[in-house]
Amino acid sequence: MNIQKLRKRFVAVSGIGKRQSAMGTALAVADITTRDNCTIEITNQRQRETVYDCAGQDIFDETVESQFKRATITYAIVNAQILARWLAYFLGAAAAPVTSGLKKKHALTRSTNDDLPKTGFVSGFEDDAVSEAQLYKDFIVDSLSIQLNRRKNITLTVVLIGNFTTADAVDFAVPACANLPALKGKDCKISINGVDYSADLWQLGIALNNNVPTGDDAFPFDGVNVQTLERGEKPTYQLTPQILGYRGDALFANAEAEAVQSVVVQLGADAADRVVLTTPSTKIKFAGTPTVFVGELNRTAINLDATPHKDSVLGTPIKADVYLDQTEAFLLSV
Amino acid sequence: MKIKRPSLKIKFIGGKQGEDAPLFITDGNQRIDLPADQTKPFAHEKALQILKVAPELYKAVQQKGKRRIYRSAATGEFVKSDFASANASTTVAETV
Repeated sequence: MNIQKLRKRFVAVSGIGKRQSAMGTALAVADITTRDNCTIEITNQRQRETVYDCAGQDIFDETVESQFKRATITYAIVNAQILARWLAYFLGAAAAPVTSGLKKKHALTRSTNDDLPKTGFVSGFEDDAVSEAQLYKDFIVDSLSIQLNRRKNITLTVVLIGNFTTADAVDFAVPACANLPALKGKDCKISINGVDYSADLWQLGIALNNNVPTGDDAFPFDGVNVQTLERGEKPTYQLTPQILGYRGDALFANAEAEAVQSVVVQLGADAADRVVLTTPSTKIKFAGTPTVFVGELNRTAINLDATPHKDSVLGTPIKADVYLDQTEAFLLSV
Repeated sequence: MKIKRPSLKIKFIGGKQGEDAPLFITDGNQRIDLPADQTKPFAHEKALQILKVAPELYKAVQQKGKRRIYRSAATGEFVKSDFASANASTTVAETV
């Protein structure tokens, strides 16, 4: 039996965030050269029709009606480059980079026609003599979940949806896994309505979801494999900051008034590689429990539930400006 | 009655910190190439799409020439456009 160990599992992607030239055309394995420090779980999503006999008692047939794969990639350690890549795939539009100081600035915005760039990856096991690494194609980013905790590592979960069928990754060389210094909460900033709350930020959750439909709309009338993977009718974006403070603070009053204000989250230190996520018109509300006690000292923290609204200038609720050393544009076609 | 779409010129407005203009934009699965020289306003067949996908980098510029008479989508009245709204709007103008 060809038994494998989890620690030998790998997933490799296009590090610079290339996209497929078209649905159905997989990335070339030569473009899949980056192996992140992450784990992957791939599930088969198959809908079957069960046909019973005339008595309605025993199954005599099962047919597959639709099929796709869902991949969940989890990062315990991220850097700005990784965050930027997945944000580019998630949002779907990227301007070619321009020089900004010592870095290259990549402006990422939401694609205009709900088109999401397709990508792929290779996953398998190191040193597998049988070379069973598989090439996955037609994957789009359905959701991103970024978690930031005070003084701890930033974590990221990416959910992708793509084609059920895979192919042997012929001639694929498993890239070396890069050991990265972790991006930590202390490397990040948050400002609300122009006021910097970084020093008081206890934790922050960022949940971005394209809500990609996977029902009948995703499939052709006469096929079982996904054909159309695009942003759903109502994508959702949610920020849940927890910031030390209490009644009497401006932030508390803003939440009480449910003010619509700009929120800027910078993931990465100034002048270093960084992602600046901006939601210019965000409704600042209390979460279900407005204040909680956190830490060993049980200090008060304001629990916010911030919902980005459509911004009149941006035309969408969210954008990201990314500053990296990467000179290639994100979402380049193969 | 002839239906005419107003021609549209756009201008690079980014670069407040000395940044250059991007040479292309990827929107979903489509690549939109942009001119190398963006120091002056330029016409582009995908100008509206560029404005939508990069509203902080580009803006529509006012056209010189005659103002257009068009039927307002809101009131149904014939009104004279100002150049800015005629250029920035996706409304198809009607010449009368």
